[in-house]
Amino acid sequence: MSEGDPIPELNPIVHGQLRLAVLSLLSAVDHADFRWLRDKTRATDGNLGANLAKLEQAGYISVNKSFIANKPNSLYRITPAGRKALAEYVQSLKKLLAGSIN
Amino acid sequence: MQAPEQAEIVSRLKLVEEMMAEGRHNTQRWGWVFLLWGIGPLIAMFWETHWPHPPVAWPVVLAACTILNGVLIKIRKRTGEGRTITMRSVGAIWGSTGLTVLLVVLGSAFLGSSELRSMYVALFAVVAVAHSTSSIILRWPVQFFTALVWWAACIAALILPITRLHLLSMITLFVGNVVFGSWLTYREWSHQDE
Repeated sequence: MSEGDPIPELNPIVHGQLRLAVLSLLSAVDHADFRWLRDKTRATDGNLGANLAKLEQAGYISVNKSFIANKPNSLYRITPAGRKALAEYVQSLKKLLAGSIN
Repeated sequence: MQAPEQAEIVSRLKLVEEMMAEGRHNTQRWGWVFLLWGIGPLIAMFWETHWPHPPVAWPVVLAACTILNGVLIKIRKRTGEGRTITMRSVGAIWGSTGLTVLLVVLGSAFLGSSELRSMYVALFAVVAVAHSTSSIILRWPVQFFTALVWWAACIAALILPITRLHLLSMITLFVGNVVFGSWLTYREWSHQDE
């Protein structure tokens, strides 16, 4: 980053640590259920649920709710907007890192 | 939003990288499916020649294997699942293959309208294609070797006398499903912590 370049803005929705972890996980899979995401992120049910809701509100993930053996099962997918937001966030981080090194 | 410190930027980038790698990491086990569909048909073949009521051997064993397969997959779904595109592709291949084999075998058992040699050739070919496609997607030479076994059986079924087809299918099922399933199960258990 040269001196004239503006400091890149970091997307506050993606910046949350748990939300960033969830988006990164979902970017590597076709879909995942709540339990898998909870196990991978080691988050509590409440915390994960709240952050998934924020990502869904932002249009970064989609959810498909169904029942398996009479138990609710939610399948989460990253949306094209979510993939774009994650890519832009990573690019911004890289620019910031380059700027802090120079 | 204030620009983060260098250490935080690095930790965020590391988190993205680690989570993506974690998402791609496959911990699912499939060796048992090949063992089930290798041992099951071998039991049906043994039943046909050694136990009472041979006409029901295939329908009963195939129904039992299908139910057991479904139950085991349902149990596994309760532990949570993240599916990659690769897993979905391979799953689609084997799901379609399984359905095709079931329809052909059960259809011929109930309707009794199949020509034995053609049925063996078709079944061997379908399983060989599934193994080879799966091996190319997963880059598994051992599974490609298994596909070669099924293709060889397909050619042999065209040449051998009808009376030898039963033995041929027993050998193919043993090598192509039981041996491959045992190798895959061993591999999955020995790599489970990686």
